[in-house]
Amino acid sequence: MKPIAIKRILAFLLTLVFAISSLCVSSVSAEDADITSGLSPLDKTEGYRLVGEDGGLKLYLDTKTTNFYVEDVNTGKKTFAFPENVENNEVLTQAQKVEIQSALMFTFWDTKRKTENIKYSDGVSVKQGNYKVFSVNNGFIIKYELKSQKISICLLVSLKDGKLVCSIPAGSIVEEAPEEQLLLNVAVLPFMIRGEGDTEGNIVIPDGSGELLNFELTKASEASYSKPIYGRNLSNALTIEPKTGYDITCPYLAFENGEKGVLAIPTKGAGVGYVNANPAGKTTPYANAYFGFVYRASDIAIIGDQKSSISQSTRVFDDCVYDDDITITYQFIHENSSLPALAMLYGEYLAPGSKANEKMQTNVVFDIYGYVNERKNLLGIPYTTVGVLSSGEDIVALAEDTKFSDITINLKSVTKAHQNQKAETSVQPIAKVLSSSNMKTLLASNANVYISANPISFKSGSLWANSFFGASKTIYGAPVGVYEYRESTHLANKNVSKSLMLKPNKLEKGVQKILNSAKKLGVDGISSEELAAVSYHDYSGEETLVDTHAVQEKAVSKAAEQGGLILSNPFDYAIKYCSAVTDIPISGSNNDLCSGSYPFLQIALGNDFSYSVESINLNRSPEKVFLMALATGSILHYDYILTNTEPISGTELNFLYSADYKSFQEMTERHYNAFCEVRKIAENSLIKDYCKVGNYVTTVFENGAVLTIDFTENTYSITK
Amino acid sequence: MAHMKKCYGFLFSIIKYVVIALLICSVFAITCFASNDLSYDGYNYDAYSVSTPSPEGYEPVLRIKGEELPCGTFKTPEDVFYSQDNYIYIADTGNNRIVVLDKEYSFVKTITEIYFDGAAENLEKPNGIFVSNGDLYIVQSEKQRVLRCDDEGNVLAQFLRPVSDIFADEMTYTPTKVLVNKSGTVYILVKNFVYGALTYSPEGTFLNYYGSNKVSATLEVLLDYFWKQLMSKEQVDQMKRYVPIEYANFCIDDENFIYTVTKEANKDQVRRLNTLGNNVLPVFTRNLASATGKFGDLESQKIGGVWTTNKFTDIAVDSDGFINILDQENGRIFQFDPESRLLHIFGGTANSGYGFTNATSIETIDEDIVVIDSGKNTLTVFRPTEYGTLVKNAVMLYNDGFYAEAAEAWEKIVVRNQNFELAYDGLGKAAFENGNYKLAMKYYKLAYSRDGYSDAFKEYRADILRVSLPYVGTGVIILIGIFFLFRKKIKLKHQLSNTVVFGVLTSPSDTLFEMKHHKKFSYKVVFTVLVLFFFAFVCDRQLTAFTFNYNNLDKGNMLVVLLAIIFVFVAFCTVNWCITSLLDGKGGIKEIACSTAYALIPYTVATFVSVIMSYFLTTDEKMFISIVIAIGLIWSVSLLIFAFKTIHEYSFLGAVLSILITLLGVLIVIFLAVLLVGLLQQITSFFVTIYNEMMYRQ
Repeated sequence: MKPIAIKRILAFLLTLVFAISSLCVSSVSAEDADITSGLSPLDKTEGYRLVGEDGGLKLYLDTKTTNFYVEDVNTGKKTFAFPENVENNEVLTQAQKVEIQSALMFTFWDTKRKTENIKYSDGVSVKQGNYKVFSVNNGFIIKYELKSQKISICLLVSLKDGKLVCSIPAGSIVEEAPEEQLLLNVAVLPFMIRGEGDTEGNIVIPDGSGELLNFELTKASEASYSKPIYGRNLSNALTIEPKTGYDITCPYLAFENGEKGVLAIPTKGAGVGYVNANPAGKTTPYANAYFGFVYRASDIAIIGDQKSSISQSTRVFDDCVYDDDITITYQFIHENSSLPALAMLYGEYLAPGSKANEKMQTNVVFDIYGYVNERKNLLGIPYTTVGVLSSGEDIVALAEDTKFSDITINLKSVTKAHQNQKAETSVQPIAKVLSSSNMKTLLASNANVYISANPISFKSGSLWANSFFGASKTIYGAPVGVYEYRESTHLANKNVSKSLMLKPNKLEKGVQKILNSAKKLGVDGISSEELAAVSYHDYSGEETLVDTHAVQEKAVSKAAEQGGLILSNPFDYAIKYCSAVTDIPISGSNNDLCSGSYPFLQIALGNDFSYSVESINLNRSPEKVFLMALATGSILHYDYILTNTEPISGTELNFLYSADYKSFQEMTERHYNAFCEVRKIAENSLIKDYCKVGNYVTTVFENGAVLTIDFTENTYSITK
Repeated sequence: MAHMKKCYGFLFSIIKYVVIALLICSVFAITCFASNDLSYDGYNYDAYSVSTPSPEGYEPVLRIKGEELPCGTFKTPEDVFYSQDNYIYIADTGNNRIVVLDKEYSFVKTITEIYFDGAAENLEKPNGIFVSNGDLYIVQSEKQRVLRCDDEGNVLAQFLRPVSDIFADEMTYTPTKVLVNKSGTVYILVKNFVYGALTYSPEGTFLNYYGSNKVSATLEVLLDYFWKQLMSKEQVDQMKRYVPIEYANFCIDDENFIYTVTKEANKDQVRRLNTLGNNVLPVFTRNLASATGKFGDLESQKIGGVWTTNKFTDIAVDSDGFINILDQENGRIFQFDPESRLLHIFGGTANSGYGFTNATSIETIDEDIVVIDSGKNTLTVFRPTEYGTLVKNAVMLYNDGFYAEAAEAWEKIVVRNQNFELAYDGLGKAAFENGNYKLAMKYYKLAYSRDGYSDAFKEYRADILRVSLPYVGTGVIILIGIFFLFRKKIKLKHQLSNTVVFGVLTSPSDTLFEMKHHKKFSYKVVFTVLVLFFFAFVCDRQLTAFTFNYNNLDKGNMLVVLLAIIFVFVAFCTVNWCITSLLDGKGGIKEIACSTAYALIPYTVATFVSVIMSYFLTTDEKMFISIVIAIGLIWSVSLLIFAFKTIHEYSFLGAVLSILITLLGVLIVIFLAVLLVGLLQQITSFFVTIYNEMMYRQ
């Protein structure tokens, strides 16, 4: 045989080997992706069967209806995924029955008709018998096959550590014909958190500090509630909308009806999550709240000049889908359930082990500002002046002389230098404050010192990265961010539309550099507002929204692992990783379907964190905010200028319109004394009960102390 | 231990009962909440018409929905009125009724029927309501009538379409609002009627028209007026007519003055009319003349790609004369003091919470302000915050002339809001009254009150002069003495008279002729004069004393000014050279440039002098600065004429004509340049759109 022929045969064989092996690999990959492979489907029979038991809970499943419930072994109380015997209900319409009995709710985009359609798992899968149920350790998997939409999806439900974990595992959504039907959103267990309209109870929606949705029927005329968990998605340049209310800041849902309480936390996938809620009587007789998740991001893009009548809009879709885990963890309180008890449960999740973080243990937080002002010389050429509103000596003196036992000082920088792409100057105010103070003295005093990295948005991402981090090397190694410049107070969208942000691949390195710089300085930590918001994404570029989210989560989580990261406005994807949450919104957006604000988040984080995102002295009703801080066990938070208030007039610093420390010194000391008195009588114990009726708030602490606040007279009394 | 538990149990049971009792009480009470948070920020405007953050002067404390009252849900309510006998009347238009509440916002009754001579008739769609001496005045737009009823609903009079030549036949009579003055005269606003309000006797007899808006004298209006003088009647008839804008709403105060508000006007949206219909509302002079007389937002905003403006729908004046106007477009309330100074802006639009979707009516109820939202069918009650109360008290003392008494309140306000310029003005007045003129100047400067600053400066200057005049006088006398002693050794005049500049300024024709003859023109002169001219401009804008300087020193960009000066100068010289070449002018481009530069010298010097003078003069003495500038200007123009006359060898008239034609040419050049830039922008935008479409539609 000729060598050439041998070569050809060898080449053919090699090719064959490669081809076969690649086929094997792909088939193995496919097998791996299918979490039900190797599992035998269960029979579909009526009646509930035990499928899991863990930590005092038992999980039962009806494979015929796919309904399941969790039973508390001690109390015998049951919590159903959706109401029982819906089929026999004569009042409900067929559409309502399908909606209520669905564990999953899908939103599709019909590419031919160009319309959005909502489908329910019960209607398009269970009723048609197109589903399989598999048993897994302490739980089960339901694989829904939607024939019309040519898609399959798995829901994994199991008990773990005394909690119910429901998830859509990564890769378990398989689209066979995305060219016909695009899956946009998936909502999980829409009726797990529910209450009948004629019963008493509340759902807490994480809007601001917490909003209550009563089970009553009178809100049926109001619009449904739907907001992204982390508020506006600033990483998506196309979906920036004027801010009309406060963003949701912590992912949770809680439900309490006197008999039991349920807390739902989206432990994975919250970055693409939405909170949805309906009042009783809206579509069903139940008030319900649930999490939805964006599987494929989309938006409306305007082509042409927006002002022009001939501009067109088109729906655009992310090339990439969210293919990571989506998980919601449910926790139950079956005895002595109350909203504060649920809040405490959530606090445990946020800060496992102990709610009191040593580093953050403090009574008073002061935000002290440095500034960079843009001025113009005689010829009108802009230049920046770096100044301090509070000198280093003043800060040291305050830290040393104050009667407060423990204070935290956040050094913040305010500048609009980024408007002219001179971001490097934004580090200078803090540098100047630090250079004029003896850091060692300051650190040795009773003050914790933090440097603040505020929201960052620049015209050019790469330029920002270079200048920002370049400067951090040369000036003290202490990068600080820039204030989100508000040129005009009432023009909601004016500045946001100018912003382009940092591309995601820069963020991780950036966060790392911030942390390194902080360590060099010896400061205790860095706070970051809207850190994730600095990432840039748009639909015309290569980066996808999913990429952006992934990088954000990774970067923030990595930073948090090394300690020292404080999220002061946690619009990001790693709330559970952060060592502290500093600023909390006072209340939510006062959505009409809600019945009033509830300080759920403050109680969850009580004793360690300030009451509100807005400082006491900048609020229009300082005494009321102070009393609310007392009522919720929160620490006191002030924004102060120690030295010189004159530079703020007519500048971008004018939001500090009531921050002169001298003017508020007496008030601050009075607040502090009252605060100490309450803490002393309450013995720093946690809140056991909280009740607001009219203008009165009553807080009961675990040690039995009862604090009553009268907001009519702005007075308080505490007894034990 | 057991005892402890018993105590705890007792304590908890007490709390439990208290809570239950309070809950029971709350069932019967209207939801009242001390709002801790709003979905909007309060703001105000600074001297340069830029919005600045401000604490909210009012906060919403109550939102009343019909379903919380025995009467049931409101349906598109359109008007609210607070009567002298302390009842709140709501025109619940969609429900064909009037709902009456007491001043505590508790339900009293509804009015659903009216009686014509005892015959009952359903009250259909009441759009407006007014109550005077116990009689109800109800507007029914669709029925084209206004009714006067007694408390029982018996109709006492009707106010129907007037029979008058002035009320055109094609005009539909659609009454929208009604009010009654103390003498019983009824005023009715009619939709699309631009000549003010119709007035009727209490019995329903039409009387006259009252107090229309005025047509603003814009450039367009003046130009059209000019052309109309030259046109035939037929041509004039075909031209656009300018008519006043109709009032959107009105109200009346305790002193019988009628306040009107205009929906979409650029200026003078609010008027205070006396019985003759003349506007007697004091106009607060703002720092920028363009902002004076404006009652709405001074900045514009863009929503959904469209620029939006204020749309004022209602006005309410409280017993202290504080004016509140309601902006339907943005759901905001603007509050002004009786001198029309802006105090607070609050409220906002939102689908949820305290935001409005379609705010239609506003009324004051003692200290409260209530707003009807016909979109959400609610009545929202705003109450003054601690800050708002402080401001009101301070303003009232201030307006009554108790400056020293108001100072304490102003100081508290400044602590709460350092951006509030009116507070500094109040502090300035107090300091002035106390004779502390230097401090007064400081406060007036922060308040951008130039008149106040000037007054304080005048006194301060007098104090300084009283102390230093003997020394200054002595020094001047010594200097004069020295000058006379050594005057023979000083050859300043002789040296000056030998310079070219001096020659051009004093005898331009001869000097320029000499220069032309000996070809002494140089571009160095052009460069030097232009640089000096530029610096004079910069000094005038940036360095003129505060009393006379209205510019925002942080906003100007002098590099742009420099480019503009160079552009205009080059354009002027080039165009002049082109034109004079055609008109047998003898001057070359170099001669034209030099002559023009020399002509700028007097004006440049006058500008420098005026800047220096501004530091020593008060506003009353502004005339001296104007005289200096006028001399410089006249001198410069004269020089230019004589220069062109000489270098082009024109007659006087020819020189003047050439300058005028040159100016026209420069205007054309500027116009073409603007056109070119616009065209380039459009081409760029076109290609960007194509690129975007390709990216999105791929």
